[in-house]
Amino acid sequence: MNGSWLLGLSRVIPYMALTLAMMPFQSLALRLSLAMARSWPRQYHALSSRILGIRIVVRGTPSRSHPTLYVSNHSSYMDIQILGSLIDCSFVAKSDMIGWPIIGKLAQLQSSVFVDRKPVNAHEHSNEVARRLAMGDNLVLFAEGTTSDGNRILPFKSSLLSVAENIPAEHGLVIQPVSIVATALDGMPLGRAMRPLYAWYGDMPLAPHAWAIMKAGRLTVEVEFHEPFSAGTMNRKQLTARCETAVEKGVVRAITGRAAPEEQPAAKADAGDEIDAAA
Amino acid sequence: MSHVSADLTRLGSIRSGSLEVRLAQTLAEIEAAQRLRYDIFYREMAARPTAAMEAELRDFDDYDTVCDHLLVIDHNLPEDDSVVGTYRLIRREMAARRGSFYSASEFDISKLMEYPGEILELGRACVAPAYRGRAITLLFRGISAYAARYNIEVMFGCASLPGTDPKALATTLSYLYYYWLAPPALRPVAVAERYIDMRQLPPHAIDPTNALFEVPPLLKAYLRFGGFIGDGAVIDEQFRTTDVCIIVKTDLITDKYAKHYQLGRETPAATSDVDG
Repeated sequence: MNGSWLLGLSRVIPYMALTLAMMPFQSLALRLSLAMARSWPRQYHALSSRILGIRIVVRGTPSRSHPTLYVSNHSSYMDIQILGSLIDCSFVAKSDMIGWPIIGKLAQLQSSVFVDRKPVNAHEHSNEVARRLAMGDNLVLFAEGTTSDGNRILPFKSSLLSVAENIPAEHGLVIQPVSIVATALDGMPLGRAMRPLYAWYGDMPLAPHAWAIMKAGRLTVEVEFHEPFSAGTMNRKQLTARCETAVEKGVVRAITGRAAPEEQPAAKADAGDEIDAAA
Repeated sequence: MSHVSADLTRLGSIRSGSLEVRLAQTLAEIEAAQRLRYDIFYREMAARPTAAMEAELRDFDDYDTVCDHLLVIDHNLPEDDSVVGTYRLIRREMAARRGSFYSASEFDISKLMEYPGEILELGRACVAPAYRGRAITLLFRGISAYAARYNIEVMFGCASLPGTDPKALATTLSYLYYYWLAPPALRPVAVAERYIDMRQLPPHAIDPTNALFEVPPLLKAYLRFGGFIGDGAVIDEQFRTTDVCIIVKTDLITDKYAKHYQLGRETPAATSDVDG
């Protein structure tokens, strides 16, 4: 894929510097259970997105209710950075990710909940997801269970949403479907053929894919926060269907460019929560 | 109040948009905090004011004149009503001036008193409804800065559950006891004549995840930041609440004391599900 080496280097160097500089501090903050451990990841992701020149278009309003389970489609590791820059949240991740170099460590620093697909451990991991929600943590769940090619969504796995079904209605768990789609490069629509510049799926090797993003122009990623709803007494099939319908509509809207005009710049979506200066 | 203004310069302030967190500097600011407390405790919640408080529309007691008042101020509001969050902070020397810590009327805190490092009592936390979430985060930032300034290693205070019927709070009280009980070396115990056993239900009757959902947000925040619970609950008739004693180790706790007092640096949540 085309792109500029110089642009790539001008992004990869500050990005790596930021990431490596942040890791020990976040690690310490987590170990000491400092308040910053919850707000730093969002600031890190916002800064990283700026370094990588990503233009984030936000539609709808992220749920402010604690806890909220955000249910999203997934086509790239970049989804984590972009959603992570918009909401204070942790991600539900596959347990085999712990072993991945750097990415596994970053996932741990974001307080990710690691889930195992093996039935023998599934119950225990589902408990951990529920416990984190009970503590008031917001979680992002990629309901397809893997990454898609970004041009469509894969069927949502209702087993991943069983945790919501098991939480009694009176606890007021809020679920918010989220669509995330890369739509343009340097202002030009990506189109089906170019989508894999952003989408990372199948057995694509990671490093060349990441390098292609680094040296490409300015990507536009559209995130739509759909109407949040209370899990109430819905079963997991109903919850899954409701999320899938909303997310799919959002993805189609974004891909076909039929979405409503952008409502607010991402950086200002939630500026009130940023801490400007410390003592 | 000379100690307030002298310390203030060293604490500084933390800003977030139109919100600022800092210590009260003037009597007027303390009175604004007392008015907010009155609105929250006596109007929104079920506490019963004394006649004197009702006349002034302020919540006040003897501790207000000796302690530090942490405030969240919204600079977009008119000055008289700009305090939207408050916390009362009492250090040893302040408690000594008053004779004891506030919690001492409900809990035996002698083990905390004997702790060789600095301790800090937190109390009278309240935030105006429109600011919950944001202001709580700022208050905790303020407390962190205050703790760093005074080398506070352990914080403690009464945390309230709504209502005065322990049976109605059976799940929460039992869960807090079985999963978050403070290590014996520092554990506060409800004073004997007011002691209510938190073990309202047997351990096997508690589903820890469901019980955690029911813990009030402020108490949950303490647990998140390394909190433990004392033994026994106390009914506070004036405030119409059931109180437990919470202790929170800060990140300034020295390794030596952490080990001696069995205050591990890891959060108890990581281990409690296993041994519970």
